[in-house]
This record gives sequence, structure tokens and C-alpha cells, in this order.
Amino acid sequence: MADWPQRANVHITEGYLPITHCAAWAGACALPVAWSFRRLDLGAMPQQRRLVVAAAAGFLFALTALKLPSVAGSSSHPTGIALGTILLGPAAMPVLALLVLVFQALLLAHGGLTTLGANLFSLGVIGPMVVWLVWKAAGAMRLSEPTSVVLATMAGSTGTYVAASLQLALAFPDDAGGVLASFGRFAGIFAATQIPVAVVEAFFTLALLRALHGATRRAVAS
Amino acid sequence: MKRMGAAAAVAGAGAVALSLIGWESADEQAQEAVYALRPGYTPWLSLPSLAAAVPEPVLFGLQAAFGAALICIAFRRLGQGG
Repeated sequence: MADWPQRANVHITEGYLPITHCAAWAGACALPVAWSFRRLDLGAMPQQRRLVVAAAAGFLFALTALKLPSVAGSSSHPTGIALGTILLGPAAMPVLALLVLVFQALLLAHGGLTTLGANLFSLGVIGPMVVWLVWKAAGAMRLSEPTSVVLATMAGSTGTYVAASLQLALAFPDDAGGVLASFGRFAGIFAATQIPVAVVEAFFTLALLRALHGATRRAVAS
Repeated sequence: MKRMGAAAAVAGAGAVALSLIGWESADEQAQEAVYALRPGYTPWLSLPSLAAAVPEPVLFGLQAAFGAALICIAFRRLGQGG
């Protein structure tokens, strides 16, 4: 078995996936992105909802720029997807994630244009879907809003990294154990780094969500 | 406007400070993973970017500042009733 490193990453770097994988992940994103563009019709949207879109986009930009220290001398980025997913639904997120990923790929050399489809699929499609499912399940179980936000955010952040692990495992299967062994090792390695970061992200999300509710309530009351 | 500037500055400075801690970045970690599995692997494409000319922490700081400014604008407008 190969000598594995200590961690994995949500943003797969330029040129690191085989071209067939790049094409496949880009193709997998095509429908969600088209759907997202259609749902995020800013021109037809009420002003207040447009401002919520701006806040969600700002949160995504700000959080994905933070490289939070985690355990064992490693660091990782929060995903920032939960706020927008909870407020706007998962359909809004592919477009917002696309903006952030293109910005990072072009200006920061973080991620990449060839790996844009793979990164978008994990950050803009899988992560928000996980957030949404957990948010809805928590609501059905009548959990409190703070608990639901924390659980949904942590699940979405972790789900994003699980998807990235699968993408890497598919591209680089272990010689002995294949994709499953590769995935298990990637997922096991990143979990130690990402789970503490997901907890911090959950509290950031909760704080901004509460502040947004407060701002909206004050505006309605005034 | 002052609040927006302050929030953007705090977010930007925070992102820069966190980037400077020096713990191994996620990108480097992913690359190590690939090299461990495929010794001698070379990425088939590498594009030039601003990161070659400007330190990465500064770029992350600018991104965080932009995000914080966007949040402040949204809050301010929401506070005014949209």
C-alpha cells in the first residue's frame, strides 16, 4: 500500500485529475448549475431576498478565505455553504459556489479551472444537498433552530470533504485495495482536520443567521 | 460605511493572520496525497495566476475582506428595510 500523507483537501488542484474525470465532473455539474441560474433570477427576485443572496455570497467568500488551524498541526478551510442553503435552498448554491471557485482558481491558484467541475460538485452540489437534508430532518424531529443549524452545517461541511475524498479516490485508486481503500484512507485522514473546522463553521453560521434574522426583524418593526 | 470598512479590515487581517500560522495548507496536503499514491506524478496543466506575484495570505485577506464588505452592505440595506 502507498505511503499516505496526513490530510486531504476540498479544493482539488489544477491538473491533478485525469482529463476524463474533469470532463465527467463538469458534466455532472451542468444540470445543477443551469437549474441554479434559473432559480437565482435576481431581476425577478424581491429586494430583500436579493440582499439575502448577497449576504450568503459574502459569507461564502469570507469563510472559504479562512484557513483555520485544526488539530495535529493541520489547517483547513470552512465551506460556508450552510447559510445560503438554509436561507435560499440548495438550488441557490451551485451559482454562488461557482463564483467563489472561479475567483479562487483565477486569482489565488486555489483549486483550478480543469478541476472546477469536481470542486463545484463537492462544494456547490453535494455539500448543500447534505445541509438541506439534515436541516429538513432536524426540523421534522422538532430540534431547536440552533441545534438544527449546527448539525446541518457540520454535516454539509463534512459531506463536502467526503465528496472530495471520493473524487480523489476515483482518480487515484490504491494499487492494492482499489477505490474503496483509497477513499477510506482519504476520508479517515481528512476527518481529523475537518471535523473541528466544521464545528467552528457551524457557530459562525449560527451567529450570522441570528444577526440576519435580527436585521430583518428590525427592518419590519421600523 | 465606516462599519463596512472596519468589518472588511478585520476579516481581511484575520484571514492573513490565519494564513501566516504556517500549518501545512490543504492544497499541499492534497498534492502530497497524490504523490504518495503515484510517485513521480506531474499535473498535466498549470496556469499562471496572481498568486505567483502576490503572497497567498494577502490574496486570501482580500477575498475575506470582499466577503465581509458584501455581508455589511446586505445588512445595512436589510436594516433600512431592503
